[in-house]
Amino acid sequence: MPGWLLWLTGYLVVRVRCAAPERFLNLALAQGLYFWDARWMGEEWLEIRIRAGDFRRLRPAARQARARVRIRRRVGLPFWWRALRRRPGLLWGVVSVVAAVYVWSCFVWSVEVAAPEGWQRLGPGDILAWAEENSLRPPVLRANLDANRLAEKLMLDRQELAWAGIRLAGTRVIIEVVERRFPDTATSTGPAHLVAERDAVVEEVTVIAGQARVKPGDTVRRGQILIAGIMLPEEGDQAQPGQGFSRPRLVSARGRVWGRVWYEAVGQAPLVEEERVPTGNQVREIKVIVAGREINVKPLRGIPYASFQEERWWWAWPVWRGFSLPLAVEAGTYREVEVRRHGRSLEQALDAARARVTAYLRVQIPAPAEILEEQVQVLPATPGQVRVRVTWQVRQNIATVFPLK
Amino acid sequence: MAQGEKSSGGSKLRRVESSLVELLDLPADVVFDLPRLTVIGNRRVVVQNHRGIVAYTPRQVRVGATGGEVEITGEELQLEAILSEEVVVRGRIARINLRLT
Repeated sequence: MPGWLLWLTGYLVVRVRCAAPERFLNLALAQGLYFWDARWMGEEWLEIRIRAGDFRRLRPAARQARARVRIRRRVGLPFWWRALRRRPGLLWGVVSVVAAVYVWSCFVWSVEVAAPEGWQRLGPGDILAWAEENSLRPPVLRANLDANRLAEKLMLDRQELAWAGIRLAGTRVIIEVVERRFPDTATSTGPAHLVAERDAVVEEVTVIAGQARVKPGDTVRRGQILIAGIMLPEEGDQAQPGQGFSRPRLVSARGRVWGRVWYEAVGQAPLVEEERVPTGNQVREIKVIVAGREINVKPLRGIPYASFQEERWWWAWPVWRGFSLPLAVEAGTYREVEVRRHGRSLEQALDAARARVTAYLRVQIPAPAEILEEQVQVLPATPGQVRVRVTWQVRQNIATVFPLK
Repeated sequence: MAQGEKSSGGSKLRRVESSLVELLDLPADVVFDLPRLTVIGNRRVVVQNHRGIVAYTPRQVRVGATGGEVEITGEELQLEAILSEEVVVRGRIARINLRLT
C-alpha cells in the first residue's frame, strides 16, 4: 500500500516487548494481520506499524506470546480528524484560514509594470495611470479580468507602445510593455552642431548658442547644419590688424529651429471587412510533461473547425529556493470563430483606411508639433481595396544634436 | 513412526512430482511451495512464500521456508513489510544463506 493511502486510512506505531518477538509476529501473521517497518528500538523494544483497525486483533497474539504492546503514535487522517473534532475552534480556524486564503487569492492585489527594453517616452506611472482608468485597480476579481482584451486595448490606447502584454501571476498583474524605438535625442555636453532632422522649410530660428546658418524661408535637407557649433571669426575681426589670427571657437550649439515638415503615409482598407466572432464552441487538449516525457491527459484528434483561434497555456512547477520539480502542464484551447463579412460603402472604407494612416502618422511626429494641413489623396488600388495617401504638413522643431567629436 | 512413514511416502511422491515438473516445465516455486527471493542490490531482499519469521535482530533475519530457512545477514536490518505472502527485508545486506534441504 502506498504511503499516502496508509496515511488516509490511519496507522499505529506500536512498540512490543517480548521474550520471543518472532513468535509474536508469526502469531499475529497467522491472524491475517500484517506489519511494516519493523525495527529494533534498543535491546528490548521492537517497533512495528500496523493498520489502525488491526490493533484489537493483536490482543490474542500478544496474550499467547506474553508480549507487552504499547501504542507509541497514532498517525493518519482519522486520528487527525478526531483530534480536530475535539477542538472545534481549531477546525473552524483551519476552515476559515483556508477560506480566507482562497477568497484572498481570487483578487488581484498589485499591478506591476515592466519594460524589458527600458523606457523612452513613457514611464511606469503612465501605464499605471492607464490601468487605473481601465478599472485595473486592486482589488479586482481575477475572474473579471480579461488579460488579452486589456493588452489589446492598451496597445490601441497607447500608440507609443510596440507591444503590450498582461499576465496574471498569482495575485499580481504584470503589465509588460515595449516602446517603439525613437531616435535618441539626448543633448550632448561637448561641442556640437544642430542639424536638420528631416527635409524641411525653415520658419523660425532662435539661437541660444552657436551661429545660425539658415534663415526663415530656406529649404534644408536632412543632416544640413542649422546652427553651427563652430564660431567662425566675424569679418570685422579679420580686418583688425595686429590682433593675430583669430581661431574658430567650438561650442555646443543650442537653439530651436521651427520648420515645416511633410509627413506622408499610404494605407489601405478592404471594402469587405472580415470580423472573427467566437461561436462559443471550443476543444481543448491537455498535456502533462514529467521529466521531459509528454503525457497526453486529454488528447485531441484534429481540430473540427474551419477557422479558429488558438490559445496556449503553460504552467511549470515554480522554482522555490532553488528547488523545482520537472513537472509542467501544457494546455491548448481552440475556439471556433465565425468569419463574418460586412460589406461597406466606399466612404466607410476610405474612412477606415484614413484612420489607419492617421494613427500611424501620429506616432511619427514628435510631441511638440502642430499639424498645419492635411491632404488626403485616393490612390488606385487592387479590386476590393481602397488606398489613400495622407500628407501632413507639420510645424515642429527640426533641430537635432550632432556632436562634433 | 507414523510420521516417518508419511515422510518416506512423501519423498517417493516428491520424486514422481519432480520428474513430472521437469517434463512439463512447471515453475518449481509454485509446485513445491519453495521460497522465491528477489534481491535488489545490497539494500533489499523480498522473500515470497515464507513460513514466518524465525529470528530477527538488526544484524540477522531468519525467515522460515519450506524445507528450512533463509538467513539474511547484514547491518541495520529492518522488516519493511511482513505480510502473509511475503517478507521484505531492508538494510545493508551482506550475505544470504539458504539453509534448505
